[in-house]
Amino acid sequence: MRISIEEVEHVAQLAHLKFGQDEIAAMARELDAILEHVQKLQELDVEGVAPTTHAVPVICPLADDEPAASLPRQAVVANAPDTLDGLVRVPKFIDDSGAGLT
Amino acid sequence: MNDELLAKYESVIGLEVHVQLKTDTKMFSRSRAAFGQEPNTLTDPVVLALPGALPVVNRKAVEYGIKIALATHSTIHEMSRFARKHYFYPDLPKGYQISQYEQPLATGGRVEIWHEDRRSEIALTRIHLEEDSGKNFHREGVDESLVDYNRAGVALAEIVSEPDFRSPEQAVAYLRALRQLVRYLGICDGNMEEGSLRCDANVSIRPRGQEKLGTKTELKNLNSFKAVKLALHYEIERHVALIEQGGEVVQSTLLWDAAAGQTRVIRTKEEAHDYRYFPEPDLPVLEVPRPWIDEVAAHLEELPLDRRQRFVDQYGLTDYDAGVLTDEWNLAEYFEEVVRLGGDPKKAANWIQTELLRLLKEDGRSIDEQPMSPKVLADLLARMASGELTGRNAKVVGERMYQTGRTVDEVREELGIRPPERDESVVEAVCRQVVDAHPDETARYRDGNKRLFGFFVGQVMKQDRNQDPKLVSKVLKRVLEG
Amino acid sequence: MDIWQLGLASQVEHVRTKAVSAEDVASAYFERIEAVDDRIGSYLRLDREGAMAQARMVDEQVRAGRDPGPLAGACIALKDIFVTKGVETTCGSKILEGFVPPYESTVSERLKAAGAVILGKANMDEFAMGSSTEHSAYRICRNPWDLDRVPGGSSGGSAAAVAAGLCGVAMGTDTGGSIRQPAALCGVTGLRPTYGRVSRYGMIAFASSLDQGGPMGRSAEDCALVLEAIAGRDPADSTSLDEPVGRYQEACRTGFKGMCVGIPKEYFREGLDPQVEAAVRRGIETLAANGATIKEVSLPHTEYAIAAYYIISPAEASSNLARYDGVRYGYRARDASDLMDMYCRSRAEGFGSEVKRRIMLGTYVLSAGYYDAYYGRAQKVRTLIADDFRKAFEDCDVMVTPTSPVTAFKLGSRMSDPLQMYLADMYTISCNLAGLTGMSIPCGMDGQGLPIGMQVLAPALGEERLFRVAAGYQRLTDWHRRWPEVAQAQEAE
Ligand SMILES: [Mg+2]
Ligand SMILES: [Zn+2]
Repeated sequence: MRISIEEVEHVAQLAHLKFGQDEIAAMARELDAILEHVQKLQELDVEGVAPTTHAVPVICPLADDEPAASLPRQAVVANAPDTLDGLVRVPKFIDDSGAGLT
Repeated sequence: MNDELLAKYESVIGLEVHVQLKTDTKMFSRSRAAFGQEPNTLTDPVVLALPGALPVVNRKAVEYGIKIALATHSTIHEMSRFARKHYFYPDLPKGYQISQYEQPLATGGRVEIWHEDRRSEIALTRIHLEEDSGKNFHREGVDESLVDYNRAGVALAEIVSEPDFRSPEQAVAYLRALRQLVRYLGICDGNMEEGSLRCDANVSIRPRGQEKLGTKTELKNLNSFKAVKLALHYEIERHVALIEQGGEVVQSTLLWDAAAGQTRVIRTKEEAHDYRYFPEPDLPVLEVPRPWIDEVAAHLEELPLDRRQRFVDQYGLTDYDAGVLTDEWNLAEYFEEVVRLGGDPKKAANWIQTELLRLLKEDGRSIDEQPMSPKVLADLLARMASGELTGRNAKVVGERMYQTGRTVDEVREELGIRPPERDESVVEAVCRQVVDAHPDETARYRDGNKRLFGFFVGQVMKQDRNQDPKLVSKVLKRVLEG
Repeated sequence: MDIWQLGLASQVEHVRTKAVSAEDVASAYFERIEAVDDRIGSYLRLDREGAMAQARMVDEQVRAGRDPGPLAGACIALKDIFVTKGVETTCGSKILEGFVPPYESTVSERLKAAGAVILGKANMDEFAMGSSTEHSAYRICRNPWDLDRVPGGSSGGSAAAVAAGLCGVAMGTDTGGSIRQPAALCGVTGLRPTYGRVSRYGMIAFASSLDQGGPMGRSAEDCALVLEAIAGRDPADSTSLDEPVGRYQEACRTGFKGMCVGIPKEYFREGLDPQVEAAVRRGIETLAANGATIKEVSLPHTEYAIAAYYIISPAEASSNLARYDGVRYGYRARDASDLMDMYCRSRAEGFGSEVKRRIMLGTYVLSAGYYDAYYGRAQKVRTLIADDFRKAFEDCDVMVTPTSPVTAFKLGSRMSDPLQMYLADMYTISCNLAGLTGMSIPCGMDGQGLPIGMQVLAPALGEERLFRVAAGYQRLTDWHRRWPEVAQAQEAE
């Protein structure tokens, strides 16, 4: 096996997904088959080859610092599953880094 | 902890500073960026990470990044790249932050600081651009967390220093210098309470003389100069105590709890985030061509240390006075405006330092929060120079002007302060009256007790406080000796 | 002949010349959808109100003598991956059930500005992940040529709608073949434009560096008409190309005489259905017989494309799908015990199995310690694949290959083996990795009466070359003019 049950569980945690025990086993098998196939890439010598990150190379366009209209607050509230006084409500979250992980 | 024990170790500190850029719109969208607005009123599809929304880079934010890089002598890379940094937080809408990783905007560079009357240079590792998160908070009586996305996407520059600090005080001096710098550049208001300047620190200790670095810990939430100093002292002592007791420092992230005055572990190395960085496919390579850098450099604001030197050269101020006046960009601007409006540089510098700064300090105000415009101060100085206001009256009048925002004439009227008597015959009449009223003192003076001159001046001034002391001296001398 | 049987270009001409009203065209389509789509499942949602209002506006403009736009009255199905202001957009996923976007995609905005009428949102594989549309969270979509078979995917709803005459043109998206493969399996013409040619703003992201939207229609000419209206730089998409839009309709009239057609030998090997191979070879002969030069070329890294693709696309997808967290919109699991539980269950319950599989795969290949071995290496292999094409295109103007190795397969037949499903994309994937443009056109039928598609590839911004070949070919053949029985059913009744 290229990927263990424990690794699948760790990846599920990273991805914020939840699986039942039998789902985990099935997932491990499926991922294993795919990883087995992609091993093919190891055959190639990629020494000195530059990675392609953009299909067609372009330079990043820059926009002027001119404000456009904001969405109405109602638009934020309308789609959120739970809100209070125009704020989005989520189960209690203690930001353990003080000011976000910026 | 005793100083002897502490002295055995050298502390090694590095800072990561987040500078909120004062752009009108956000880093990757044209949603307005502003502080203190109604929650969730500054959003758009990009800020909220609605399905299908895409980022577009703010040119001004890049320009501001170039400014910081130039001001810190960093190497600006003509090609840099954005990357995605992943983690799940309710205030991070996309589930990743767009930042820069392997190819930041600038690397290297240095910041000159004055600490303990010595000039030193702090090396920078990198400067990169990224976006801020939203804000998550709690409300009395509500069990859940509430999220406001107004701050989400605001442009940030992150400035990472090398571990070049050897004391918390030196780190604070650097942070002050950085704050001064970004305010001079006009790219950030530097308000630590409002979070527009935020600081994280890395700290480790090692026995003096040892080359190898100790295990470091990372401190978060240092949102004032005081917090930086206290937290670093606390953490250094904690490291020393651990090692002295035969233990070891565990690599971890800690939060500074200002109320409790201590640090608290929030994550160890094992629990560290796996950010899964990869190049941002929605943004092509960021190009900063040489001509753009040259253009920004040509219009770069005067830097604090340059201005300080110029104040010495141009206005003949002492280095100390120049340092005080250039500490804050606004104050330096104020001073130069007073001079431009005719104020004598040395007198203006003197007045600002002895009177204005004292008054501001007493009130806890900043230079922008008082009503005395450069124009009225220049006027006050001119009236002093012409002798129209005595030094003593000028001080009284000036203080009142500071309190009320009124002009010299308005205050003089209010306090009943006339211009000093100019007619020598009138002054002479008063002098003669005083001399006549004190025959004993007059005799002793004329016998050679010249120290009594001050007594006579005092007596004359007592008759009328509005007199010019210089004129009084001149006339009195004539009357006594004539 | 009924109005719906005419091509899009001809319908627009009728509307512009007042021969028929836009309202009548739209009504005709809605009638057909009502009669036929129960059996097919090409639409997830209709926007009758919005469509009729737009049609009336077009008619008013025509009556007032104003230019109603180059797509006046063109009835279009939008893959449900394009966000539409005020009209529910789900991307085929339960996690977006009930999501009503407060903004409009650039593609749909440009379509409407050109006078097009959006009939509704087409069925698709959830988040465009799949090659059969069986991964739609809402309903099965069937191939109009055989209702027991898949229409291909992920733009299966779009392809089926075009094949069954339930819209004039449909918009699809193509990340690894999702326009061309269903076009081939449903016997329609589908164009995947060059990456960056059509704005991705408001097009829900699957794999950002590979995604591209494009038209699917009954002919190259119809696709050209639509592409001219939607292509071009969009300031809201930083990767959109700042290059002039080509003269695609004119290219359709130019023909392919004198062009050199490359045949990549690696595309005609094991795994290719002999009937598909035969049909494509006949197509090539038709080109050769009518003035094209044929030349064998080689793309040596072809066999690595699927591996590279199944690292890069899930990696980007795992990142793009992090925003579906139950916080700001979409599905949120009930009664979560805490925030982590809310996240994990909302995503576990909201996403389907294929999407979760790709998120897992993508998260894994990006996780600490694996980046270089997987993602980093795949990006380098991508360079090798692009270099293959650069070299090969030095010797030819376009390439012709099969689009799919097989014709439409039976519903359910590949669901249990994801890897087998991935291999369906073997001929289309390289185009996306290398940033090319490609088109699939009908070139035959197999023994069971299922359509066969021929793929034409061109270098970046080579759309005009594709239109020259495709439209020229379609003038010589009638494969693209055939209707499945289900489309004719209404007339028979
Ligand atoms: Mg950092
Ligand atoms: Zn940061």
